[in-house]
Amino acid sequence: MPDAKLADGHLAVARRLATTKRPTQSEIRRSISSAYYAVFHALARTCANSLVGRTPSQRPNKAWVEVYRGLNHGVCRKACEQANTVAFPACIQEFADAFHQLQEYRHKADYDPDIKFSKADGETWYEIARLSMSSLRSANNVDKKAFAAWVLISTQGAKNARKANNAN
Amino acid sequence: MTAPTMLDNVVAEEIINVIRSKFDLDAASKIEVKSIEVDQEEHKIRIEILITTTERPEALAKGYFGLTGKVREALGSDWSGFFPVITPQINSGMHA
Repeated sequence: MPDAKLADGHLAVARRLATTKRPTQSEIRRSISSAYYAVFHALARTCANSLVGRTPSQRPNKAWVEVYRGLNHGVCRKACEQANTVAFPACIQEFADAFHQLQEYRHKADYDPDIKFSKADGETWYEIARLSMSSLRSANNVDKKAFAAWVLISTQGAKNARKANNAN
Repeated sequence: MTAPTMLDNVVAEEIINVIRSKFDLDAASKIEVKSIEVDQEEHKIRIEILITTTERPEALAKGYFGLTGKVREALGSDWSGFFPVITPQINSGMHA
């Protein structure tokens, strides 16, 4: 059975590392990275639950894992960047924007040796990730399905369909 | 129409006001915009801000969450294809 609690697990790691009394630079960086992965896994789970089903006994579990793992970091960032061009509700739009910002910041935390992060940076990004996950989970099922299709499917056919939808 | 290559002062000032207003920090806190750069290649506007405050991370996160949309509005239609990457650097040194 797939572990459906990875998002909460990553978020707990982000919190633990950021709230250590005197975190090292490596701990703060790993905290920021975990905050991003918490949000990424929350979105992957939302996609799989929305498109395949929430209840393990009533869904094809292999297909659930395929959708979960179908989320691509770069494609998803691009989709989140363009989410404001369609009418997603505020809870999803704000999630999409925060996802993009978290991914940008995660890249800095993982790869940029020039930056010195503060404990407050780590704690604040943990809180941003927590708010983001809560915002996504507050969306209704129809909007979650629409957003799942938006971040997962980037084929030319899907783009054409979206153009046609916007024109109508 | 081609996209502009740099922000005019009015738009930059509006962005600063939007950031200060969204965070709504106490009078002892300070928000400075360190830089605003247009990345034409990636179609991004990179905004670096320095926040000096004793406010709790929960309050700072609440101020940051939803800020992207407000900045996007302030940028206006001329910059509609550009994503504002907002990077805060938080200095809680006032605790001492």
